[in-house]
Amino acid sequence: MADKKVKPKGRKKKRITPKQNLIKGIFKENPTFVLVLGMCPTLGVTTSLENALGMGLSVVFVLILTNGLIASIRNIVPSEIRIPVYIVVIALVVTLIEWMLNAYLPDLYDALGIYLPLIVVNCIILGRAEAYASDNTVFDSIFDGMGMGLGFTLGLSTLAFTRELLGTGSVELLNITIYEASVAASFLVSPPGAFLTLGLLIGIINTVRLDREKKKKAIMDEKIRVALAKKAAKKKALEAQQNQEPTINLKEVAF
Amino acid sequence: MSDLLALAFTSFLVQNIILNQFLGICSFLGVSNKRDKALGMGLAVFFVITLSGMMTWAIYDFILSPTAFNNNTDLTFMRTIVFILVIAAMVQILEMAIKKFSPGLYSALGVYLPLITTNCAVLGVALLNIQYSFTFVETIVFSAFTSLGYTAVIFTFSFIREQMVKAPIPAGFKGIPVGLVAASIMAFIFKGFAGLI
Amino acid sequence: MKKTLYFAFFLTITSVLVTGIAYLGYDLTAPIIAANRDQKIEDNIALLYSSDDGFEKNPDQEDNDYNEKSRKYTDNVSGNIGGIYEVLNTDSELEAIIYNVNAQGRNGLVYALIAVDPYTDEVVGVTYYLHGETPNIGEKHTREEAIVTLLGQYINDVVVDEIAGASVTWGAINEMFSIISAHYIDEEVHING
Repeated sequence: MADKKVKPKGRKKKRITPKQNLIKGIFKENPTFVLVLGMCPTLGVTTSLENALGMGLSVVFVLILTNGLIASIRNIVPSEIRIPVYIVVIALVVTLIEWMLNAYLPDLYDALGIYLPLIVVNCIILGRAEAYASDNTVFDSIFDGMGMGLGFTLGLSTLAFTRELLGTGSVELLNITIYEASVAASFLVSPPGAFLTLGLLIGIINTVRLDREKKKKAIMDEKIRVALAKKAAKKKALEAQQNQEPTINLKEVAF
Repeated sequence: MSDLLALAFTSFLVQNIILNQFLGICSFLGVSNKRDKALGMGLAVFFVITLSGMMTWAIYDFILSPTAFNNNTDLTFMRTIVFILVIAAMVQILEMAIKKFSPGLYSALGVYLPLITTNCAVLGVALLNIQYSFTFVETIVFSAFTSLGYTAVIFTFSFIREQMVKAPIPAGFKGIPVGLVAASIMAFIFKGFAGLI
Repeated sequence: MKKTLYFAFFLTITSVLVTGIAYLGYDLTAPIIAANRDQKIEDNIALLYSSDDGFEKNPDQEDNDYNEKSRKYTDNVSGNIGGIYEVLNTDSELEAIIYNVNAQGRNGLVYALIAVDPYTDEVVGVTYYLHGETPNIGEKHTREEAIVTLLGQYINDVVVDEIAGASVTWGAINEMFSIISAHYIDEEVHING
């Protein structure tokens, strides 16, 4: 399971600004919709918007702490035992956050149930620790963690909003009812509805992304075509010019 | 005895770990596109969950719980950390053991074993055993049948996904989205088991 | 060899650090968690007997009167009495005795406060303050309609109506009442007159 990491020699790491780091986690590499990681809590706690936001923000905290901690010890930990050490650090952070929630927000703790300790095995956290925090500075890692966590929260909230709105007819947040309707498709708050909503959402977002990529590619192709055509035209003009020149050269040589 | 049968039935069908409790979804979506991959993963998960369920229960009962050591200690606060370490260590040992004693089995299952450490289902079942205050026999039954439920669902699902590749699906929905929609239909079917017990 | 020793050393230091930090965190938060739980029970007792109507918990209730004897009354692994509280009415007379019981349901323990009238041996109040039962199935047992059927029954002969598909929750509620009944009879809680 533990293999030695070999850093490619002579390649300078490209640094991206913290803001780009943050945005990347929220949109381009959104853990829920693009990377499809961390599915268990996504389906399990999205029956209400409050629970989803609570879970998402907890994951943001956990990610910031674990990424920061692991990035700060990345040079001390021997490479062979880094996975168990990372796991222990993550488990410790999650346990502490669990107790904090139980003490100060007990309703949220009861609502999240078993999904709270399961943040330990959430693919996102170990994945980012292994892929990013073990190679980058504390500062970068913290922003990456924040970005991923906020992206995860965005994904959870979108799903929860859809499920709660269409499934129970009203959306409640901190005792404010945002919208109330009189009809609801109540199967959406049950397990089958979770799968269905998530599948449709990912499908729609994928379609939009593919569309955009196609358009980008089309524009790119167009540009390349125009450039090639220009090049070809230039080449032709050059050739035509060269065809007239040899006669002059011969005369010069003969001189 | 009938309690155990009811428990087995419930954990296998009614409260199916994938379609009802949402544990183990990442691997479910990732590995279920080919029949043999799905079966391999399912069997590996079965081994790991049953063994780790028993092991974590034993460690909790004999070391961590308040009733160990004559009611003198309460080490429940180390529960999550100890459990995940036990699971990671057990997966490692299991992989080495299978490699040594049965190379055939290893070539079928071995690739998936390291992935199972971060499978929500394993830690989830371990924690549920404690939450439901099971006895040792109940733990074995619950862990075994829950993981069999996982195996059954992932294997069945692989058949569906293999067929779906041949269907004309819009490009944005190919792969995971349409898989999730199919899973929702399966979940509907399993919902019907709820009134049986 | 040296490397393995170094690894072992590193891992030991890590485990000691982790255990230490975990214990610290536990020490800091456990009292708050316990206080929250007590507060929740207080609030739920107030639901049954609110202080606005003049009811109050008996401040003189001797702690060892009931609680010392509220050990497990069943052979099952789950289910016990978490506490017993006396409620006084406006004339400072004993109005009811509230049992804080729990029993194993489908999704974890089901916690309930059950109020018994010690003069008439009848169930006079039930509220479930913590449970994880399946919504619309087991959870139906915790709703008003189901609770109303329990009120007025004799504590030693409570009959709980069954709901289709919620047999585990039904079993938990039965267990709670049998625990209370066992304690009630054993400790002769009934008061004459």
